[in-house]
Amino acid sequence: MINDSTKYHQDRSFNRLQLLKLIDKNLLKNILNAFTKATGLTANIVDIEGRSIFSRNDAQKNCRFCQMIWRKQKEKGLENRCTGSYARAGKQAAIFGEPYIFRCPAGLIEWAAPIIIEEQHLGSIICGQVLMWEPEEFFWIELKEMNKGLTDDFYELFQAAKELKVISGEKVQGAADLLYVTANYIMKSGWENLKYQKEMALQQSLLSEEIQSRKSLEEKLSTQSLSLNYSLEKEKELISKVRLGDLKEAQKIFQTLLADIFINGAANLNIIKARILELGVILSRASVDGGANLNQALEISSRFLQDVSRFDQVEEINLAAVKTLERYLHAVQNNEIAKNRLAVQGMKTFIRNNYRKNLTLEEVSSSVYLSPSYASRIFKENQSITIIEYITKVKLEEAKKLLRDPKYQIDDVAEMLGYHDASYFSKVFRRKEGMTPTQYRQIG
Amino acid sequence: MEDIIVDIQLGLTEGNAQLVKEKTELALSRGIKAELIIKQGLMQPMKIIGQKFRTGEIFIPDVLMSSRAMHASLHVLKPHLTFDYKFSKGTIVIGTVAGDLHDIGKNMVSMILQSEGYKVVDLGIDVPAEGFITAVTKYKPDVLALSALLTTTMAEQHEVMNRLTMEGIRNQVKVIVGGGPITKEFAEAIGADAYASDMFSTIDAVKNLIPES
Repeated sequence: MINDSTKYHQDRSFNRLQLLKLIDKNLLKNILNAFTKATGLTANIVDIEGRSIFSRNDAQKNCRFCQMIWRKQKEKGLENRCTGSYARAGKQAAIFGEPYIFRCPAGLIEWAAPIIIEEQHLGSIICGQVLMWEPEEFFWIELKEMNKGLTDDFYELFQAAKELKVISGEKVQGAADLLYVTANYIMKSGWENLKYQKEMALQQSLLSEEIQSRKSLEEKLSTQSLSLNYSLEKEKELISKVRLGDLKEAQKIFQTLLADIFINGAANLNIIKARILELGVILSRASVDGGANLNQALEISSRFLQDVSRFDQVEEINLAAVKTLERYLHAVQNNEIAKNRLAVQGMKTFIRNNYRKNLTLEEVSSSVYLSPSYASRIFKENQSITIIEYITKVKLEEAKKLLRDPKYQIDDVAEMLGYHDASYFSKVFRRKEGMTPTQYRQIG
Repeated sequence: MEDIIVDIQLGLTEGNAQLVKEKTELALSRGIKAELIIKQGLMQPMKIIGQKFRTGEIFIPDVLMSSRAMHASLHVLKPHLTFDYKFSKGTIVIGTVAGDLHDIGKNMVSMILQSEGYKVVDLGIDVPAEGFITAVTKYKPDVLALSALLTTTMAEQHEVMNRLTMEGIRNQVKVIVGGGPITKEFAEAIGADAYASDMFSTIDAVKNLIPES
């Protein structure tokens, strides 16, 4: 049976780890050091129990007064005095959702800002160890009163207290507000990291699924050379899917290839990195083949190279690779959309310039160097009507213009628009406009 | 004589602890009663400070400075207040409910009640409902005074009332509720015996609830 105190200790270290898991310790240190440089005030991050999340080496140095108080508290077994007040202040700050300014048990002014990520209060930034008044007679009375349990000899403590920074209430409020902004920044980056970790976990489960299915496949076939051939085949497939801009299919194949790399690379990070980079080169070439902008492909490629050399966790490399594939495919797709738009515009211009001829689908599509079937597809996608329907529309608009001029016979109009048969022209006109050309002329 | 009180008031507003301490000593030496210094010199400006804090005119550092100055004065006054428990007028248990750390008003109320001959058990700050129940059972007070400064802790006052009823000790004690966000309607709704809007009315409410014998 776990007794209460063991459970309590587990919870405590859990909280502490959680914050450090979400945010890099060095990043936190940098943030606090920047804050200290800007304000001249020491700052620390504590968990919800009020304990520093940093080791002695990483933490900022406390003032001499606090060091003395800390030592004396330790002698008397009263370590909880500082941590307890930090825990309480952090809790208050979390309840208010604003910086909480308080007087510590030893008599100094401090303040706390809460770190809350996904509605969980993980810790607080504590700052201060200052006074808002020059030490006067009453301060010595206060110090004696507040620290009477700790010592009888106050001379040293008074000396240390004289070294304390004295800052105005306004500056305290300002520093507390700045600290709150700082905490918000930490929360934001923590939240983003959490999102990143979740994404990475999803990617990991996909990868392990793939590895499992590969294992059972290999067992069935038990061929030595399977792996290499299999990979080369898969690479070719990948290239064709990337060229076509087919994200879904490309992702499936890519996942298989990644699994292959991680299995065969075993734990050798350099080999894994080398093979991943090879794959990156293939992706880059295929995307350019598929129409991606060359500069854009180069940018994606260089970012990927940086990521791979920067990361030393298989999980991170895996996620970077998957993201890179997505980027390449977007580049292909973007280009395709842009290219299609141009082609459609070209066909429309061609049609408007040549409506007097009896245009065929082949003539229109070859004007933009595309096959009839591909041209038809992108035209319909882009304009929601077929090429032939568009031709008819242009012809009929022109017909209406011509019909308003009495010097043209119906036969003349039909011929001018490339209709060999005037009665066919009349039929088409009536179907689209709801009346015959003659009726239209009478109304007009 | 009045000038010294005004000096204390100003010193308190400015948060000048040393000045307030010295002026309090001066006032005593000129024969001004400690009770008067508390009521006029301390409680009046603290009430205004509390209001200004709530309306956002001043901030926590200012309140901390003023409360420190107040404690400087109380430090001087304490030996001059009469604490006669033999002829106690009654017992009061006082505290702020869980979640509240602001104890300035509460400290002053408990100080003045003691000086007027009541026995005061101060449970301090951040007291959970359980703490009040235990104290009522143990000290059998005439009055239980609950203070809350925040809207978030109002529900805790309700919780204390519920617990008193559950434990069957609701009839043994009169309950006063007060604090910044509390209204008369809220006090009635949770079944308190009295509502106190500030420090002065808390003292009046205690006097009303405990008939002089």
